[in-house]
Amino acid sequence: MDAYIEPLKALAPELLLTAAALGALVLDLLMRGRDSRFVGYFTLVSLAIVAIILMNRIGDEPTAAFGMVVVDNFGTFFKLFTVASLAVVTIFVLSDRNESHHHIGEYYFLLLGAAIGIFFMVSTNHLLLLMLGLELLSLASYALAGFHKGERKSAEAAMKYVVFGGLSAGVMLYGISLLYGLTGTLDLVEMAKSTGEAMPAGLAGQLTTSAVPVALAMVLVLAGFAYKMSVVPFHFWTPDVYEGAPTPVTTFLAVASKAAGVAALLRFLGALFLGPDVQSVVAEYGASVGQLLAILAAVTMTLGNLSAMRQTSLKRLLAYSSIAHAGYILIGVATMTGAGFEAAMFYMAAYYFMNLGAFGFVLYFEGTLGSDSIEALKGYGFKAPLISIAMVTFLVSLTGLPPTIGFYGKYLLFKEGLDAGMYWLVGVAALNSVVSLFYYFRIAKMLFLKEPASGSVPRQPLFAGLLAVLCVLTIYFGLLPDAIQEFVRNCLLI
Amino acid sequence: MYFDYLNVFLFASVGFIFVFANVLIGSLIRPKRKHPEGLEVYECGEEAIGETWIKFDIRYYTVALVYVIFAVEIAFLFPWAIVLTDAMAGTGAAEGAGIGLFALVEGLMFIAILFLGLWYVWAKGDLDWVLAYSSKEFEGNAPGSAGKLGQSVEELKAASEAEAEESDDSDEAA
Repeated sequence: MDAYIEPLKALAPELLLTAAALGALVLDLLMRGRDSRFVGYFTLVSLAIVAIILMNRIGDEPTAAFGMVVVDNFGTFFKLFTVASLAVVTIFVLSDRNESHHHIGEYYFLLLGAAIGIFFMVSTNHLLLLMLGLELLSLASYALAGFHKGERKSAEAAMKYVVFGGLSAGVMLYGISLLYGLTGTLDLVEMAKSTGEAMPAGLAGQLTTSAVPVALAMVLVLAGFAYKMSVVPFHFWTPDVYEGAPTPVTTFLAVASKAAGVAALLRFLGALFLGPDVQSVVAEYGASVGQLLAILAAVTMTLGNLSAMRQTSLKRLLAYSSIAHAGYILIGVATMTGAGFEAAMFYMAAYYFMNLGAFGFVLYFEGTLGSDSIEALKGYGFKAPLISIAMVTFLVSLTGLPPTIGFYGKYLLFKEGLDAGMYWLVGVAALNSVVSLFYYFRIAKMLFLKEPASGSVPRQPLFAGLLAVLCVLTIYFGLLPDAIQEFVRNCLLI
Repeated sequence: MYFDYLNVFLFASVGFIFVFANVLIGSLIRPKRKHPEGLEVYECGEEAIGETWIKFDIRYYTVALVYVIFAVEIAFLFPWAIVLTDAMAGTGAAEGAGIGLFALVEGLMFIAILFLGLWYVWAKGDLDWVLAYSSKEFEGNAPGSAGKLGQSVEELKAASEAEAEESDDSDEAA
């Protein structure tokens, strides 16, 4: 009996999240729509408890459960990331003026369900569980994207997301099936460790005998990750879904879902190519996968930034900006070194502050003006100075200028790129940063340098306070990044 | 090479050729007699009314969805129920595993979660049989005049007959 209950302790955060998700449904039923905010508070409290459990785990020895789940610091970092972004998203839902609070229990249920998917995705070396976690996240995201059923754009977003998601999941599964057929195992560590002398041949053996199927499988599996991170050429869904989905959901997709993709990709590459027992042939192969990722990174950031320049909707602009940022993150991944991965993780942390802030501003502004077009921003800075100043800070950080956390994150990425000898890639990224300056500051110009239209803006003091806190943290960690860097470094010691 | 791709290629090409060869041979040797009756959807039996492009009721979709959920539940519960006797008594394959109580609680939790879902959709009114949509929602969506809500079968039949007569006239004129 204990043999079955003992491993469950390793899954405490996941179980707690499941209970919280079900609890949100029950609470919604019991409240009968009288006070829907209560469900949100319940979600926040559950997330806080999960965060405390996770914080206590930092620095523990890695353990395994049920032969598939790995509980280590790397996973804990991304779980904390997910919980922290979900908490902010929950506050966004609570302050969303466009939310009718009809069926609100489902909203939190789906958000928590997506988080459970991410939790399993980031804590496994087993491709089957990885795929299941990814699908759980995707299914919840599809439903969330279409949460405002009556709105045409929301329904369109959900439909496009389902079609693209289904296709790329199929492609990825096919790649996984090829890897399984070639190596006889779904465990990444096993796959990379096997010497290739006995059957199953292991990745090392297959690389020498049948390189083409291995390359095909790699590309297909990477396509699945690229879709989640919205990397070109799997980015087509991003602008439409970001624009059509309710803004809190967009925030979730842009921050937590993208981080899950990055985490799964880092885990996949790390376990397969950078582990301690990896065969030398496999490790060499990792370098060429890195070359492929470098090309993807360059194309992604260039296309994202160039497309963002012509956008008229703020949400679409941020969608293209998030595509561009996926490209920047890929620089760190493409180096295929521990330090590069560390830089990518640090950039995710930076991305957390600045992107949550930017989407928070969109939500505030959309709720007060009922539009998300950049034209409507004219003179908004005079009407709502506090959050507009915060927004400019986030924009400075997104561009990668000092003294913000975005600058330090980009500095780390560029430094690791140069150390790995990818001068051309860093050059492209630097040029891209200049391009991004143009469209980010178009927003800032609209905010402060244009005459305001008449009318005042309704106040949401608590929400504005949250944005102010994010703004302060963006600058604080930009000046003193050591705390986060230390934390990331500890988490990467797998 | 562990893979012999020639096999795959041969298999694929034989399959590909087989389909087209059959279609080609069929078109060469089958008798060609063209009657208007032969081109109808149901050659012998019901006369087809209207077009096939109608919007059909989403209500059945809800029912089908709920059915699938419970069908899956049963598919999971059958094997569980069958091995549960062994697990509880510690006999058969489960001898010495001590899994009995754990398996029972786990199965009950599974059922409880499903029932929570059922309770939720029931309470939120998603299981209610929607009685009527206003016909306005459907207009303009369905291609052609057929399939509009609010038209009776007789009206549809009359419409399709009128259409058929029109086409006969045009044939004669030609």
